[in-house]
Amino acid sequence: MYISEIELVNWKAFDHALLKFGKFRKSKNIGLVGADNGFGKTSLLEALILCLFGRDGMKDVGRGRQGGADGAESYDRFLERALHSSALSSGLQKMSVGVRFTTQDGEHLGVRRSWYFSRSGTHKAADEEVHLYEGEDEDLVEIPRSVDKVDFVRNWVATNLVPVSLAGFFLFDGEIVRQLADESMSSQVRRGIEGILGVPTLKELADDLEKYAYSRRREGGSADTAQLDAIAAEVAQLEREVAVVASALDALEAEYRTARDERDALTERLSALTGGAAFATLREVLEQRERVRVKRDKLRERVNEILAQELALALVAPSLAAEAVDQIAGEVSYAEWVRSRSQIDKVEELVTRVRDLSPNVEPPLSAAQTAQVLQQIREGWHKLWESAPAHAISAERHGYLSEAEKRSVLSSLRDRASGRIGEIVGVQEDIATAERELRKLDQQSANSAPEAIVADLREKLEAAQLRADDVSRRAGDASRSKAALASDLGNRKATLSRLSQQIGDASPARARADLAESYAELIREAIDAALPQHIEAVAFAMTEAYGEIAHKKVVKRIEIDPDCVVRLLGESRGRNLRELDQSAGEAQVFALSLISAIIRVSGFRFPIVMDTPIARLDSKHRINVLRHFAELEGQQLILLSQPTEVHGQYLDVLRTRVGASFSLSFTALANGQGRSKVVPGYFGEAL
Amino acid sequence: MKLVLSEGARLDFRASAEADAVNSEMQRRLGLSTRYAPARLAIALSLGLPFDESEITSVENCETGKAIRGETLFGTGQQLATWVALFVQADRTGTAMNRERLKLLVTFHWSRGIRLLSDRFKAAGGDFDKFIETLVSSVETGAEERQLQQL
Repeated sequence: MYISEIELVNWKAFDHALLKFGKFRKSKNIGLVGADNGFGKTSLLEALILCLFGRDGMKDVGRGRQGGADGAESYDRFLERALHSSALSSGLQKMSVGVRFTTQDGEHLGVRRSWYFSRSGTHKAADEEVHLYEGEDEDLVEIPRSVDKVDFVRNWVATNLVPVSLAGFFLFDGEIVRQLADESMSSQVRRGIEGILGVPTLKELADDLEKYAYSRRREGGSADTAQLDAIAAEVAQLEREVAVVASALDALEAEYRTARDERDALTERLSALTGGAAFATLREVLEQRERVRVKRDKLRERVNEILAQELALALVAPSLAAEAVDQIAGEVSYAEWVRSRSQIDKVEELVTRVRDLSPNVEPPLSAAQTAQVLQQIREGWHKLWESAPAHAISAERHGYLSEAEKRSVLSSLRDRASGRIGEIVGVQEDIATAERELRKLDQQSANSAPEAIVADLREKLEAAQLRADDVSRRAGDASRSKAALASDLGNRKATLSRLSQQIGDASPARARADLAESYAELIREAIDAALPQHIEAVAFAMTEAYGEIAHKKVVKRIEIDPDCVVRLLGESRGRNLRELDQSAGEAQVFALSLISAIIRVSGFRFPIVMDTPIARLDSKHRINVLRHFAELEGQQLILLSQPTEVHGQYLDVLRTRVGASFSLSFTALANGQGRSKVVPGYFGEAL
Repeated sequence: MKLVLSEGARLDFRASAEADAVNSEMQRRLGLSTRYAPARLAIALSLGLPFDESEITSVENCETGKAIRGETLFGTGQQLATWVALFVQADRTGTAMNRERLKLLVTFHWSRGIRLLSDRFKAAGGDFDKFIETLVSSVETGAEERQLQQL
């Protein structure tokens, strides 16, 4: 496609400028715009970039990039500075840039972006309007209400014209080339290829997904996640410990079997020397010993059980328990007394009954006596409930307990040190008894073999028995330890499972966060996978371009590896000419070769607009650059040039291909500002 | 908010981080299958000893260990009611009992008590049987004192 028209209204030094490039022909593919420095040449390039890309284009606006770190602020401030100096004083508060394109098929596409300002010249982000045009009749493209306008325009431009990630490769000035050349070769290449793939947009998407994931996780509260992680770590640690103990237990069991086999072998040998009876006695003794040992170990387990259950309560200081009993019993008593006070109301009933019975009293009572008796009954009755029992306590400390619970607690505290503690003692005694029996059996086993002949064997047997006992005890400890760890592990796993469930259920946002993160990772992986596929095409195109532009024909081939590391290979293969120092000019040649390669590999036929990128090149390179870009197949090239750049021999390279030429003239105004105008012809020469 | 007994079963109780580590160590040294076993012994040892409010506040913001639910640490029904009653009775500072106060008291007694338990175990030379003997004899001594008081 090609640019057929550019219109500027109140842009920089232009109150109005219209450049018509006419119909494109392959042989007349160059538009030439000449201007001295400061006459508006760079302003034209900037106008194109910001018209097409708006705020997104600020990264490619040379002078804009030198502004503040906040791109948003620099865009609005840039626009405020761009408003034509006389606009506001003339009551004009609008600035616009319009570009018309014609496609290969003869269809028209257009973009017009307008910016509005306050009377004082302030621009705000919302004061911007974009109109898009399509079709032979250049119909206005309707932007659906339901979509974001900025996104729609961005996508429309990317689809129909060129994506913003590639803008810097089609619309550039010497500053952009210089900055590109200052980067390492690999980062230049990576930037170019990422531009082709639209990677910056994808990376932005991946970043947005990760930010979304982060904010969703924060909504759900990081504490739960941190708690989950902590418990998961505990579970992992416990599993490791269980594995270690289990492994130790296996080893101990194997050791026990060895020790037992050794003991049994010695027993048999000893028995063979001592005869059948002794053998039977010894075997019986040893078997009995084993039984007693097992019993003792079970008793120890029982002690563990009681220790964990009843002993704890029994250990509570008796004074505290007694105090609690007195307090709670006192509260119960008081409550009973309060309830029973309702009986006071029954006194009249009692008095009535006694009065009714009084005629039966012998000797009979007088009326006064009867009245006195009844009164005394009343007084005595009241006295019964006048004051609470001595041990009753009205100041309640255990109000959280119901009366039934209080009675239950009293029972528990009164019984706590009885029975079960005695059981511990009994069990301990049984253990002691078992230990004594073990010692006795050991002695018996020692005595049952003939001393003189088998002393050595007996010694060995005792040692083997001790070893077996020791291993058995250690295995018992390990077994208990493993049970304790396993129990703890079970609890932790249950907690982990419960928490995971809670987090999953209570916070679906976390699931979304996980999904968003997985998409972000997928995008990054896709980028990494797609990059190498384009590297070869770019390397090939770069080799061609470099070969045409560089006048030192030292570099025969450019190779780029999957990590975008560049090798410039000379005649003798394997020699990487990057080891040679590159001059600034040579670095720019490399950068321009990359630009050319990206343009060709990208597949976009967008016009190239160059603003004097050749100023710092020597004459040979300048000629090569101009010729190379002018002769890119089917490509419109709009050159913005100073008179000292594209002139003489350099102009001669392009002359026959120039389809339209303009100059920018500048007039200084009384207010210190100026006005630029477009005049036909390149510095007075009609080309 | 005033304490409700049934809530106590659902509360999470913790010792200080340091004490929790000792609790785990004691559980393993004694070969006990549950964390609450040494915890109960520890709490029992501490409950009868005096304390003042400054000792309670000292554990208020300390780093804490793993949680145990009330129904696990103290049991349910009569067991739970009994333990809570002992905590309430032992708190002579006059502070109103509520959930937060109970949690704080448990942290304090558990942390203090586990050190006492550990000391007793060390005093018994790390010998399981001897350790049990000392615990049982301290219970018996207390029972005898009570009987003497009743005479």
